[in-house]
Amino acid sequence: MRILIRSWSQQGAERASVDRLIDAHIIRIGRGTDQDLELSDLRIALAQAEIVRRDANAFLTAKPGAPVIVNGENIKEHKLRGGDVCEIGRFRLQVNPPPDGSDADFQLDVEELISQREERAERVGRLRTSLTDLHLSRRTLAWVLFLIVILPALALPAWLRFGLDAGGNTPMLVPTLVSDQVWKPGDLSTAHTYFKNDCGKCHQKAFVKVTNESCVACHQNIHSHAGDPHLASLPVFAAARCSDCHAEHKGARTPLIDHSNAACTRCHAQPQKNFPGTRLEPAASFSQQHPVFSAKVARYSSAAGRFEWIEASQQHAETLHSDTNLKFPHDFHLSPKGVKSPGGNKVLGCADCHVPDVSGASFKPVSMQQHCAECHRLDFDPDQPDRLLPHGQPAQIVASIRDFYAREALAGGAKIVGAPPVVRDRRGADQPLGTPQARAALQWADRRSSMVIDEVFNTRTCSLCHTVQATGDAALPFSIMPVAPQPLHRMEHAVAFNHASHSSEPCASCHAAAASKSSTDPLLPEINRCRDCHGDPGGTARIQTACVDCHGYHRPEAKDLAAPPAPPVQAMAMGTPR
Amino acid sequence: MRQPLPIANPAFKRHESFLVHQRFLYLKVSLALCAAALFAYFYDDPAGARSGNSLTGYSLGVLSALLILQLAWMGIRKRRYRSRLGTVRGWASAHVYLGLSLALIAGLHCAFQFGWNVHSLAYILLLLVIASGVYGTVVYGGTPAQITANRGLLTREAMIIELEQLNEQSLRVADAVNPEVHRRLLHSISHAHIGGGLRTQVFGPEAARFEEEAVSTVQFMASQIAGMEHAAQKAEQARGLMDLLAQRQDLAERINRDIRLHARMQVWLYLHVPLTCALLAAVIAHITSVFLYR
Repeated sequence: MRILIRSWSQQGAERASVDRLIDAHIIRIGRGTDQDLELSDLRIALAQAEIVRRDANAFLTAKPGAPVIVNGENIKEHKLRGGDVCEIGRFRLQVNPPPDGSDADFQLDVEELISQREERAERVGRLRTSLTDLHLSRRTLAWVLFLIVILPALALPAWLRFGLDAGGNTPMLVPTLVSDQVWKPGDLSTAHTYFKNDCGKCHQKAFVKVTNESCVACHQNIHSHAGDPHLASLPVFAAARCSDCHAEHKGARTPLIDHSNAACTRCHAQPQKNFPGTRLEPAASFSQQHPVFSAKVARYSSAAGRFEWIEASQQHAETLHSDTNLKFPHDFHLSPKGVKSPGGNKVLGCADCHVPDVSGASFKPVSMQQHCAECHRLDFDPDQPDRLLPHGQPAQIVASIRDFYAREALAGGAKIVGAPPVVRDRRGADQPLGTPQARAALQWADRRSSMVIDEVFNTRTCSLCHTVQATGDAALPFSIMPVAPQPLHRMEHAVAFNHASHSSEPCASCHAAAASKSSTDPLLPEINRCRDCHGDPGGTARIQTACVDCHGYHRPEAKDLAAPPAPPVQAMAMGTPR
Repeated sequence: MRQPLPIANPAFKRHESFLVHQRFLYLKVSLALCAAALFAYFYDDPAGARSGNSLTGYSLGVLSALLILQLAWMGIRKRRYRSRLGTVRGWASAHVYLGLSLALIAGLHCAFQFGWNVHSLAYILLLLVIASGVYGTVVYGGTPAQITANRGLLTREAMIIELEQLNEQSLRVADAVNPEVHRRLLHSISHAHIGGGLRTQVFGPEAARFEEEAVSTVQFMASQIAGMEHAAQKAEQARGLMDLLAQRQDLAERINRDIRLHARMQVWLYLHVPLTCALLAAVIAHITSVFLYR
């Protein structure tokens, strides 16, 4: 193998070369003085590489642990071709075809690339010793992060919602990730969860607050707080927004109804300030400042013959009674000794008459047939105790009594003391009665029935519970004053009171029925009785009770709140039986 | 006659940290802001629960947004050398204390209600920016002294040149000892890491590997010397080489520590600044979306 080694060196401004021909089987390359091609560089091993001929080819072989780079790649063995560039330390070896006229196999151009000093400078220059050497741009990084955030957080959802489809139902490219769902500050309440991704159901126009109209679109028959058009036009009501009290996006566990009192007390702590002339009293807190209870009570007008309902406050105890037109002393019926009944002495409880209604919140009306008739029997003739008069029908009562005694008289055989013989004598069916006899019998029957009618209405039966009035009309001599329809006392401002949720308490703990002598008593407990258990929201000593727990907001009654209070009316004289 | 040292010279003023600027003026301002925000938060009892939606919530939100803008403006102010709007020192002091107070004020703004949305994203980014800033403040406090102590009287460039010289010197000595030792040393030198990528600069090169190379070289040499001809002479050379290697390793470690300390003092800005831009994007998205869907 004959190789022409052409060594290049820089001499002044010019490059000069020296040629040397080597003819050997193996050509050794390294720093050692015994090498065929000696490269003086401390970073090169004494023996770094060899060129070996095998058949028609020359191979460059690197010694173990000695780096040799050919055409930019680190090699162990490489078949040399024309144009190959080998780098060993600071030296570059290029394989070229032999010059014309030479008998060498190939030419190897050897050149010291850079001086030792330059090489060191370059090596030092290549070191990355500060973060600026890493070419990391904070500005680029900043822009990348800015776009990574702004695109899915604002630009894409806005485009999908308002650019692509103004209809409201945002198309979901990647569900919940790239949609206006990322703007959702919290989960919807359970009632509205079914809206899902349809934000436009409430948020109809961009940059416009959710309007009351979008709520009322579904909640059609909701009452406003002030039914009176004058009140409704006041700024405080006109500017009221559903979302003032119903805050959405607070999560499924948070009720949609505001249970803090602030929204109510903003006006009700000083109602005179907002509504001059109103008869509303200040209600700043349930425990500290809340009006005493008012009930709607009945007033009977004898002239008109009908009932009117007025509001009576506990503040004016003299007004707090209902014209029930019924004589019913609770104390007598609730006597622990009991009351007489056909079955013997019977001790009554509240539940014997007051039966809860379906909801349990209130009670079914008390009825004569179900609750009174067992003791208060409507019989009228001692000899016929099972013959009963119809309740609530004075004309039929009169007719029944008259018919009964007419038949007794005409049939004969009646065992009635003081009755004429024609009435007392027994007669067979074939014994006709002469006209004078019949007239005498009917005259007795008229007298007898008039007496019994008077007794039934005025003494024994009706007047026990009812007020009986003489009419002066012989056909129907008495009338009964109408009884107030149940419920007899109405709590209109606190409709949410639920008897069922207070069932752990005995009735007597709130209602002083055992001491009530008259049915006109509303038996309304005092507010302090409620305060024994109920306190304000945020308190820890008592059950936290918000305004809306007892009071409804969307109620139509608010229309008469500016009206003057009803004047006190004297109660009707109502006697107690026995 | 010797002059007395000017120790009591009133003109000689000790260096004062920017954190102490004007007797903790901005610490006091920030604490006052926090106290006012806490008072407003607890004093206000809006209808429903406390939230960013109430009057107090809005006010704290506006305050937070203004603070973010002021803090972000730091990046511009510190490059405006001719600005007369306060000193950079004052700005830096305000930046640290106002930035810390923002974590509380922004939290009060949203009444600490969080969810998977852009609003909470903004708060999380805010906390990340503040956390990187806290890191930056801490390293600015301690690292310069560590750098000075590590460098001694040398500069980084001088240390690197000295290392190169030690490398060449040790290669020359190794060459005289044994070609195999030379080869090993060459391998060790070419594998000794100075600086490198982001991870290497911040956490240092993998020390174990570097140690391994040096130790194996020294062990190999010790084994070589024992059975050699002219052992005494070789041993002398080997001892000289070991000295060189120890110096070389010590210097390389000092250089790497210098690189590491510098990198740690700068790397937080590669988080702080881009995260601030991400935060600005999130705040823009937050404010826009809140008013878009009112």
